[in-house]
Amino acid sequence: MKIAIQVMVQPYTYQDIDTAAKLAHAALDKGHEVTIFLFCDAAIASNKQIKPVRSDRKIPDLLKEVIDRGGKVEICGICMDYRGITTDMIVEGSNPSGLPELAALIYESDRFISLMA
Amino acid sequence: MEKKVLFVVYQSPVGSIWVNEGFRTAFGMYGEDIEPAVLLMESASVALSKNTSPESLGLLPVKIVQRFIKRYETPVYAIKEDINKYNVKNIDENFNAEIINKDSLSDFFHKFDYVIFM
Amino acid sequence: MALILIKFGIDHPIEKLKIKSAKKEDSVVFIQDGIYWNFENLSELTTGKTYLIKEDFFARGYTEEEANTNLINYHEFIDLIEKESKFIG
Repeated sequence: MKIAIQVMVQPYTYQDIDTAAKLAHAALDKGHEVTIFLFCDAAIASNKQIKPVRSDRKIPDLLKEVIDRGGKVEICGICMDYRGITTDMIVEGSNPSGLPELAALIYESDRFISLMA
Repeated sequence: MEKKVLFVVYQSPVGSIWVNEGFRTAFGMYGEDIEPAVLLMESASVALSKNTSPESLGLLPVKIVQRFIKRYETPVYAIKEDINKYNVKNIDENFNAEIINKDSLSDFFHKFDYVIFM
Repeated sequence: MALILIKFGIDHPIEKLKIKSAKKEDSVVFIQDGIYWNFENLSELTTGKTYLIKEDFFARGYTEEEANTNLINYHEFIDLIEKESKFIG
């Protein structure tokens, strides 16, 4: 199955990227194709320059681990622009994207899961 | 096969971006075989008032979505009880909103493939 | 039929409405702060089948004995996603 997971809120303040990553791994374990779509403030999570304190997790790495297992991470491009995130800043293997791509994802996916704002 | 997607916004049109984002996302669906609709609930209902103006605070206007609602004929819904709860008067007809009752929401939600709260 | 995802706790203005909108054949999954709904009378609120994400429940200091409905892990959550083609959340 193709499963898409949309995240909308900011990382660190909330748990949503963590939830999305766990869901993605569980879906990958079962052989599904997974795409995480980062919308609005969730785009911040793609910034690999994020530096949390040592006791905290590095959220961009959670996304990278999903990508390394064959999952996809797409980021709303205009949301990146709004937050000053440029393509050289984003996690390796993730892709700037947009609403046409989100529409295609919604249409083509067998399941669409959204973590509400 | 066409997919029906409902975008639901429940946060205020002034002070949060979600009414704009709900509509923007809905309009973005037309490139695919998707039938989008937008439901304004709770304080998002305030967007329907002719007098609501986030731009008066320097924020992104809400009424910019109206010409796309007209162009794409995007269905817009609002909840009767929420309109009363937030004392929304002087409803802007350019939203072309259909007012539905709260007790019809379960059946209403189940008409869509995806109901995405924003 | 539909997967209904509840992410916020009991004071949220929308979540109760989502829970109540569930039909008998729907699956309602409580995730993150949504697990606090465990302590409400869920059978009175909904006819849908209800599930709590185990990790989120335990991380908030609760034990298996305190769960008033089904505890599931992420793999079981994927089983529900596979089963339910519609989504409300």
